[in-house]
Amino acid sequence: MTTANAWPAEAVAETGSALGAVMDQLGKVILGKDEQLRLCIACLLARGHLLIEDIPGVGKTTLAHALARTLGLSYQRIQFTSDLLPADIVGVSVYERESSEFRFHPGPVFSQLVLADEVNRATPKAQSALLEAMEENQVTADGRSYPLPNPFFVVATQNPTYQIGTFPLPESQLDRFLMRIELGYPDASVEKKLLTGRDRRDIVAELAPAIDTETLTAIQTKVPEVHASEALIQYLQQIVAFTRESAVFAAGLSPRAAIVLLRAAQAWALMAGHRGVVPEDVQAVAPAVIAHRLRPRDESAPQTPREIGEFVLAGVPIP
Amino acid sequence: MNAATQRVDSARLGWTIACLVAAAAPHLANLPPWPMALMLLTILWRIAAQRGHRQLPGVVIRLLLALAGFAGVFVSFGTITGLDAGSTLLVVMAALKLTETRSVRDLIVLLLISYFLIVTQFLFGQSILVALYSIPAIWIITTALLQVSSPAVAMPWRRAFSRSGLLLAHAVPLMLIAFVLFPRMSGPFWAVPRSDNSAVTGLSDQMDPGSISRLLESDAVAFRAVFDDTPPPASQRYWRGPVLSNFDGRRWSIFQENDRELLPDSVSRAGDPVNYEITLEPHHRNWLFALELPNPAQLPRKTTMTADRRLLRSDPVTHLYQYRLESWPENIADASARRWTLSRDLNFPAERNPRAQALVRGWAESASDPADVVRQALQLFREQPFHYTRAPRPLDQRHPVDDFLFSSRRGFCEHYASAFTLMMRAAGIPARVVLGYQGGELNPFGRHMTVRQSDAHAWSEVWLLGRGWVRVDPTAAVAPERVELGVAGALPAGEGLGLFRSSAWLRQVQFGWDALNNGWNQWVLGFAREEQRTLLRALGMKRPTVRKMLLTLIGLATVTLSALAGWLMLQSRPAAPDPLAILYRRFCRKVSTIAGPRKPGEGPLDFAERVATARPAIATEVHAITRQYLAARYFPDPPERCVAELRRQVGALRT
Repeated sequence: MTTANAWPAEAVAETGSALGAVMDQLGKVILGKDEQLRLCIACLLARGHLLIEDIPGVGKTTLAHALARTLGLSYQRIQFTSDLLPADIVGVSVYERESSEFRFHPGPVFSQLVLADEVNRATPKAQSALLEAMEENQVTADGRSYPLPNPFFVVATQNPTYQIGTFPLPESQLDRFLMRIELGYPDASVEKKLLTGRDRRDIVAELAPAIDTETLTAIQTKVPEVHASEALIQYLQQIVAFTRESAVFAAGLSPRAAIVLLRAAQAWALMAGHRGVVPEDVQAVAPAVIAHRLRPRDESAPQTPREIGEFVLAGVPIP
Repeated sequence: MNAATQRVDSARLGWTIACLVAAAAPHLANLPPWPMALMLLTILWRIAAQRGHRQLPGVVIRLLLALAGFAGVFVSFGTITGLDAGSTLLVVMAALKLTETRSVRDLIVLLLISYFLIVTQFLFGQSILVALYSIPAIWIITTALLQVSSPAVAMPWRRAFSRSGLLLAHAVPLMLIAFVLFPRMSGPFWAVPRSDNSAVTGLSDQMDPGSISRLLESDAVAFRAVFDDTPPPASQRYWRGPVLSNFDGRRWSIFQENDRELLPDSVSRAGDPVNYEITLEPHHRNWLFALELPNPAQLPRKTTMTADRRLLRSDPVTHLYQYRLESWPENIADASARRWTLSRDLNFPAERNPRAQALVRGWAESASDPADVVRQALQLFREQPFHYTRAPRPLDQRHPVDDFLFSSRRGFCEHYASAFTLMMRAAGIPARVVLGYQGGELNPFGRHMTVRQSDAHAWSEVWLLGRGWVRVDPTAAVAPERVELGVAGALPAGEGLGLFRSSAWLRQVQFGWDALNNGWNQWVLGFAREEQRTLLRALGMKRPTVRKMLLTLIGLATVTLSALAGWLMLQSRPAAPDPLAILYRRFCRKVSTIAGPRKPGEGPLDFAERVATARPAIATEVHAITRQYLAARYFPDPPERCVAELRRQVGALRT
């Protein structure tokens, strides 16, 4: 994927430099995962939520923590377990003697960056409490609504679903996540650095914010304004139509999926310094955005996100 | 992977087997059952091989199987050519082909054979049912062809069906053009003569007790008639067929001498003519049916009128045949004939049926004129306890007429006609038996009259001096309802003609179906040589010839196909390629020598990177062109004259 930054307008350059600092700092902590990091940031900029699916110990938590520190966001981690209750996530109303009334004690979800660790180990009831908060951007308790902070970014991690004692997220809830990514094993040189270098957690703890919240939200509002030309919209529509017509998938992409694919591509274009969305921007985010929304019909169909992305992108000619 | 080598997966195999079964199944009605059993066996074998339970046979076994197939066909038919043997061979070989389907290409071959099997159905019959069956069958095969030949994973079946339906719909205009313009031969060119016509139900050229009542079982249509004006009443609807003059004491048969042509001067006309058109179902005989008595000056082509006023065609009727006739119901035939020319209609074996002869001789001595004898005979039937029944007891072999007249007294039309004609001959009156159909049923939906095999009838004609041949129907003396109401009305209770006659609702269904068939016969099958030429002349083609028709057909087909192709191209490319796209494509072509062509899903930036890496010398130009293209195509506010600039850049690019 090219990162050619050859024709920026001033505004684009400004954004690019702000994000460049973020990327630089993150790149120093999370080694050899540049593409995943870019996807994370793109997901955040597009006001989406992120699902990281991988085995334990590849750096999911470190990534989330580093993101929070670098972006200067308040951070909470919720470890999902099978006995986790909805109240453990959203908070609980407690009776206070002095005022003789119930007072709402906000739960860990009231943070700008929430790490929902091993989200598939909790019961569907607890899962849906989080997912509802993600969807509504607010929490309702005892008939009152409490708005969640802004920006609000959920990073959920999930063990591969074949592990014992898990409740895989149903398709309708997977759809709530803008992207699903995998971290994967580091390559040998990176792993050597991990083994010989300082503890990543210490490094993360020392990180200072590389961007302030105002700039971040300003960039977020710019994302939908990134130019998407007629030709690009046509390309997006052809991608969606391809997934609907292909017999490989049980169902095609929904209109909502098309919208979020465009948002993610816009965020990516912004980060890449493109003045408008180009097909490569769509292609860069497509596997992470569409793979978890498409269910292969049988074992002969492409399975992994990478395979699905390649299958779809190779099958749709760029107009 | 290409079609030649791609391995067969279960879904593709399933489609192919389904098509093969759909294409071969209708042949169960036409061909011996063993090829079907063989096909079932190879299908099971092939499925077992797909599941890994069995191996497909090797080349030696396949060769032996093929030889055995040929041998089997030869044993069944004594030949391997001709309609039946050829079709059987096709089914056998299709079944065996299944045992060597290893690649997708083999499946495609089988699907094409399935199309061919569907076509061969029409060699056996062209009824509306065959046509109705072939439409979904062809649809399924086309769908399967789409599924089997598609390189990727198959489509969902619903979409596959709608797509193949669309494909077939595109073929409809071409089909209509070919239907109208393809030159018709004087007989359908597919009318391959079949050696075996025993299966055809219909009148034969001889009559013995029981031969007509057997036809009662058949609801099959003998022919349909459309009258220009009001149809004549039931009592006049005697459709004449074979005339039987030979009698051996039991069986009546045709007198071959009578086949000679009628002398043209022995024709007279009286009364008003009846004009009508008959659509005759194939009966594999030479004779045509007509009301009394057709005008010999207006006969169908290749048809003559014989001395006993039958219509005789030079070829047997092997396919649906339409002809127009003009009949004169009050026509008098042979009024001036000499008695000696009628001697063949006086012969009977004197040693058989003696009691009948003796009875009639008594009448003849006392009667003043032959008409009196006729009256006495009819009076005998009317006043003695004779019964009309479809199931009389078998008659004595030696003296059947005696047995019938004096003992059984129960019979169907052939018994009465036979006894009456013999009695007339014994009295010295020339008489003969006529076979044909009596009545017919006016279809309320179609204005046409349907005459069925169950309307088969036998009656007599006697020659009276000065009046010529006069029709006498002795059955009418016993059961007048037979003529007025048809067979069903005349038969005693309990001898009904089955379900269709008993329920009014089913009767309506039958009428509707009959009307549908008649329409099919008239408009589709009846569109033969003459009709085609008439239509083409009406459409402005002067003197239509086969050559002209073929040229027009090819011309119109070309125009239609081009129009379709053009329309489809417009459909598949909704927006005309803009100059930008054309220029960019030109650029891609130019640099394709460096790093290969751009893949359809490859973005412009990626492609530029690939080209620049492969040839760094032109990297600047390639990036500049790509930048210009992206700015014009994907970025806001494209610069003015960007197209012209791009054109200049692409033109200047030297690889």
